[in-house]
Amino acid sequence: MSNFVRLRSLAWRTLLATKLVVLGSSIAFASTPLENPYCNNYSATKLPFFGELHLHTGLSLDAIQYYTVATPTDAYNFAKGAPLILKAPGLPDRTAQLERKLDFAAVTDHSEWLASTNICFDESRFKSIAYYGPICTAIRKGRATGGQVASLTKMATVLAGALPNAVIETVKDNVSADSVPDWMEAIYNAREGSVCSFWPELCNTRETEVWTMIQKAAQDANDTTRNCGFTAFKGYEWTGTPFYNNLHRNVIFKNDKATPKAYGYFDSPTPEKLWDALDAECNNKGNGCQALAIPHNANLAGGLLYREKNSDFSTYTAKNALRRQKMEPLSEIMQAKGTSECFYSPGKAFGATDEECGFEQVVQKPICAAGDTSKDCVKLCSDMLVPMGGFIGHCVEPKDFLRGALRRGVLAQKNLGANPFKFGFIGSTDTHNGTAGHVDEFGFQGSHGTADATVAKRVSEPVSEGGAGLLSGLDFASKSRFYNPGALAVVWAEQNTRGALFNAMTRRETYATSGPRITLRMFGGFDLPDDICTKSNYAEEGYAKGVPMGGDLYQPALNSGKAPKFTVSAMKDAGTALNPGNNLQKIQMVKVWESGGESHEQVFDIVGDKTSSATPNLNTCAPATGGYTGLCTVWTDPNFDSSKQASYYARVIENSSCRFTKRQCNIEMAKQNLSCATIKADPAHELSGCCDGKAPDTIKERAWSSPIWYNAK
Amino acid sequence: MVQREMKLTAILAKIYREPLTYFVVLGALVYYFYVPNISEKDLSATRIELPKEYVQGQRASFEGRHNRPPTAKELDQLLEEAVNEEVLFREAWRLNLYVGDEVVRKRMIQKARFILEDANVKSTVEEPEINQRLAEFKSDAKPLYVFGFHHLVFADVNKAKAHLDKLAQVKSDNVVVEPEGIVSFPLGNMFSYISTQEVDIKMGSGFGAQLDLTKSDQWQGPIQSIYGYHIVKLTNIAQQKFEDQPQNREQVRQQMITEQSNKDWQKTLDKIKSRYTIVRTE
Repeated sequence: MSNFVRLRSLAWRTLLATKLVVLGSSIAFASTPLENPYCNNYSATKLPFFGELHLHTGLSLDAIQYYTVATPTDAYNFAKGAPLILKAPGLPDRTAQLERKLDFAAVTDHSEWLASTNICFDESRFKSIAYYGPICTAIRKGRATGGQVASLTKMATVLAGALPNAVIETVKDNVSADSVPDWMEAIYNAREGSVCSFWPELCNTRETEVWTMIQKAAQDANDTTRNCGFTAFKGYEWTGTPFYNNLHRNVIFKNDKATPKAYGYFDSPTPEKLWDALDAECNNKGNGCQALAIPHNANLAGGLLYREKNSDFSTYTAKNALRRQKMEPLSEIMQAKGTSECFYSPGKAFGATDEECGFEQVVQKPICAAGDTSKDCVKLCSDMLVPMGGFIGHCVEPKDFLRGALRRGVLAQKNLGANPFKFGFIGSTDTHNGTAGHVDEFGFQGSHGTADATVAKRVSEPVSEGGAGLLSGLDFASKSRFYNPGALAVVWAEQNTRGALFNAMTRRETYATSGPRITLRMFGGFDLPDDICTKSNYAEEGYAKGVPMGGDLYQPALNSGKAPKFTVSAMKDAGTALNPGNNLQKIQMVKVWESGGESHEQVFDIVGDKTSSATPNLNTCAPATGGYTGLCTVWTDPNFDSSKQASYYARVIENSSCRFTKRQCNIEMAKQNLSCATIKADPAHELSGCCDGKAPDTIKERAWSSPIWYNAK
Repeated sequence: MVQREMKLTAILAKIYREPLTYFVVLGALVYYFYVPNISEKDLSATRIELPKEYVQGQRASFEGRHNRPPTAKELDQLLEEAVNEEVLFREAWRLNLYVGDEVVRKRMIQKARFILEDANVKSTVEEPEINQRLAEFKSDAKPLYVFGFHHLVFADVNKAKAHLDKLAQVKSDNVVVEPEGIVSFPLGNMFSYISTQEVDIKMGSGFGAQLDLTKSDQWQGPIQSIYGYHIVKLTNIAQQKFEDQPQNREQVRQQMITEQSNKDWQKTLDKIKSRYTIVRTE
């Protein structure tokens, strides 16, 4: 055979193979079996399934820029217990592996740069011309020189948020195309990183290919046998960041049906437009497709995530409120970039009296008093003319945290007759390494590729940036002492299938943990037996005489004024032989309610040791003695007023244990035979963060139940 | 004449349909747009060459950005910038400015590692090796059992024993015996299908090993866990087969690759290190 013929044959085979791959994936999709109607481990009283709904792989621009190369398939395999090798240039390979596999996961790569990332980091032999273009070259060059990684990632985010899409869309809708100012058009086009401005058709093709690949990975990883060992959801992240405030949402699909593309911020510039796209291309399609969106990082949202306003600044109507309630039945309460339950701010209207609100905050400063412009405090976003830079901790807004949103919700219920913020809680990691659910405080290997690949980086002080400029703040991504390994989502469902888990999410029967696998159950009802905690059929009684977490209570007609009872039962994480779980300290009930046209909050210690001082051994991190393996109680609100809207959620607190920074410093210092005296003698020592006393040595891990709402007439 | 034209058209059509043509054209385009570096062969030389391909690449790059070719002045500017950079780079090199530069040092370490890894570290494992490892797992693995699991949890071991005695006296499942001193177990008291491994995850390590798997449909215990004392009834006990699932195979493959890479890398490093004398002073 001549060389020419051989070459020609190879070319034909390549084309044919490409066609077959495309065809094969469509056949696989069409013939995918429906959800299993009945798993081997089916339980009518439901089981807690541990997983996560927010993680990134090398398909996200801000992950591959930190040298993450994991694919969605790698991430799902990791979730199922397989090891994952993490590579960082100049460092030895690290292997991460879960001690206990997850029950479910969703890979949620950023939808906005799927194509650009694929084009600019194309490892195949036949790269597109755009690969060699100036933007791709600059992005790769920035990554290679290391120092520019953070700034390039920021550049991409700033481009996305420099001018809120809503503003541009409004201008475009109201003036003729020719009248749109050139500079505005330039920013509009530049947002997609220019690659897609120059090569739109190439981008469309690549975006479709990547979105197909993401879906196929979920489809392949999903266990459809009767073992129901693992559930993989299709999903992506919508990454709207106007004025550098985080409005991100993770979109999760119920089954093998999904939207034809991953609608991102450039396609759907506001949350409402995202919901429109999800409704048009999925929920109202009539083909069984169902999708929901989960907001995250209210702590970095600049006060914009839970406003009672639409993106065009109009005030919510009851219709708007109900739509939001339906589209966003869950909110992420904790992840690597901190906790969004509440912000401890003594003297302020929100989070004023609850010290537990200081748990895993990325912004470590108190809120500035009026007129205080020093750098030792952080601005209140609502005091700014235009809230800006929430994403980097330039300002915070406690009333926009989840508890604040619940408070706004009960007020809206009173005023509008509908609650836009009726959501359950979940936790996730937001890892950018593909390491799904890797929340282990001992074995934590970082969550952002090269940015936190070493212990030294993980314990360092965050870098201050930007001076007094508009976007001044902290570049958390560059060094991340106040990051944490992340959280888990727990779903109470009858069986581990997409359908059962998704249904549980829509009825908000979920909870979040800061990492440990604490079991937490809560029921509310008017006729719950007082001795339910000593019954062998706790769950059956709970369901029969009450509603579970996420549910609604209505005052029965004949029970005028009667207070509902709540039962909360929690079990410590059993842990593993190597790392046994920590004992519980107490359970608290958090109540929010409306009264006199205002919202209020109060925290009650309902069972356990209110003032435990149990601490771990800081040298060895051996757990504290004392505490409880399980706690259960029945509680009635002593201040219940049947005419006031209210909601209640439980918070289970573990005994104090070593934070990951302390654990990893102990191990690293022992390995290098270092003491704090040696480290302190060298101010530039890479482990100085281990000994400067600025990061907490201990934390109290916890779980948060979804709320139960009391609906007054 | 017409015949010749038809023949030519047929040939052109054949070429047009030929996928190889597209590969060749694409290859030429990629080559055309590929921007070669300015010659760096001799950094001490004072002659700077701007090859034709480089100039063409700059022109194409400009055209890609602005949708028009650069003017002569613009092209001169572009090339001058490149020359300026090259001059500064060579001066920096001559002045040894890379010495003590942490970024350059790290980058060189990284490059050295990449090159050495590429040459010496094996990153694949053969299927027969995986099969052998899986076979070892199968022969070493403790047998896994699955069963239905009903349990009651007590804080006090005596109350657990007392209840077990009461249940032993009752012959029928229809008779309800109310337990005393029970501990609420939010995870649930009945599991229709659970394995010894999962029982360990839920009740704590070592719990599964304490179950008497020969006792089906009988109450047994008390078995102590971190939560209290359990009396347990197992049903439908069956041994679970070790399955050569793709994820098991993939897990083993990953493990073996990690082991092999670490071994190869250590060997490579040791070999290079053997050429050095390390003097350590306490």
